Amino acid sequence: MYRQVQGVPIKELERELSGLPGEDLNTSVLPEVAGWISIYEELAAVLRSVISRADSNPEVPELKRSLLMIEQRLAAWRDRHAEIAGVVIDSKAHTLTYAGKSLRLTRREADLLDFLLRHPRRPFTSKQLATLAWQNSRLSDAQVRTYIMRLRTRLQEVGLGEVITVARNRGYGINAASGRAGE
Amino acid sequence: MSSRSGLIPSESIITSRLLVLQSKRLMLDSIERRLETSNSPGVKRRFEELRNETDAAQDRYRRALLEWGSSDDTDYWVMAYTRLIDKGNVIVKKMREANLMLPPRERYQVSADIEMMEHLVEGWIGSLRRSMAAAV
Repeated sequence: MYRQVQGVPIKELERELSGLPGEDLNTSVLPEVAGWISIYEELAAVLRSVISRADSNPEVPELKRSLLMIEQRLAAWRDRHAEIAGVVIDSKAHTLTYAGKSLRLTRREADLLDFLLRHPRRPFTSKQLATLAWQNSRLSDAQVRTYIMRLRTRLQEVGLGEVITVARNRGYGINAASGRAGE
Repeated sequence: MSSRSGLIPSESIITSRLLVLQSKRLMLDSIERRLETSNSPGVKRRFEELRNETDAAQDRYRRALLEWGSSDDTDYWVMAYTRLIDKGNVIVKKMREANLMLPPRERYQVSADIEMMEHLVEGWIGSLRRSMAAAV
């Protein structure tokens, strides 16, 4: 099999290789990356909890180094997840670009979508979103719900209408694969 | 603040979860012995149920110890490192499984992650051994 591709121009070889099962970056990696982010988050949470409870213990400096390494990897995979999902959010201009289309969002909408994309596979309650995505714990559940519903409607304009998921009694999450599937 | 038993509430939670775990283990041992002499589907089903219940009780006990236990206690560190090792191993396993199917860019990144995580897990295993030795 290998010999048959010897001497084939690189472009042609790349085309052939990109068609191998499981080699399609856009369809196969997204759920995997989301899964790794979830486990890294759990691991970081255990480390943070241990560090906070054992501040003066001699084990802590080493654990802090471990946490730093894990947080760096977590940040890298969060960025990659957003990249693979194909959603680019310009946090200064508050614009979203997806599948060649652009959408201007409000600051709150951009912050919310960016936060959800960086925390896949996890539902967040209205209270958590208000505090974590907007650093504003005074927003009521109804206000957060209104923001979410308005954002979902707006995202339909670029084919991402299903990307924000609503799980009853659990909260709001993101399913970046649904955007890809709709391409 | 102490409860009527003389234990502070956090200790009571840990102790009660430990008692639940111990009773589940005893029940599991008992039904395992019955399983050796009986092929009854009912016993097999109960054995599976009890195994799951014991795993869940163990998980709840670990969580309680991590959340409310004292870090001066060597058991706390045994549990903390066990939990870190478990989580680290899950990442390594999942990344290894996926790695063969990934495109080159991801494969390189994932290999680096696996190497880092294996190194961390190795360190945690060493710390776990030291904590266990101190607990004896």
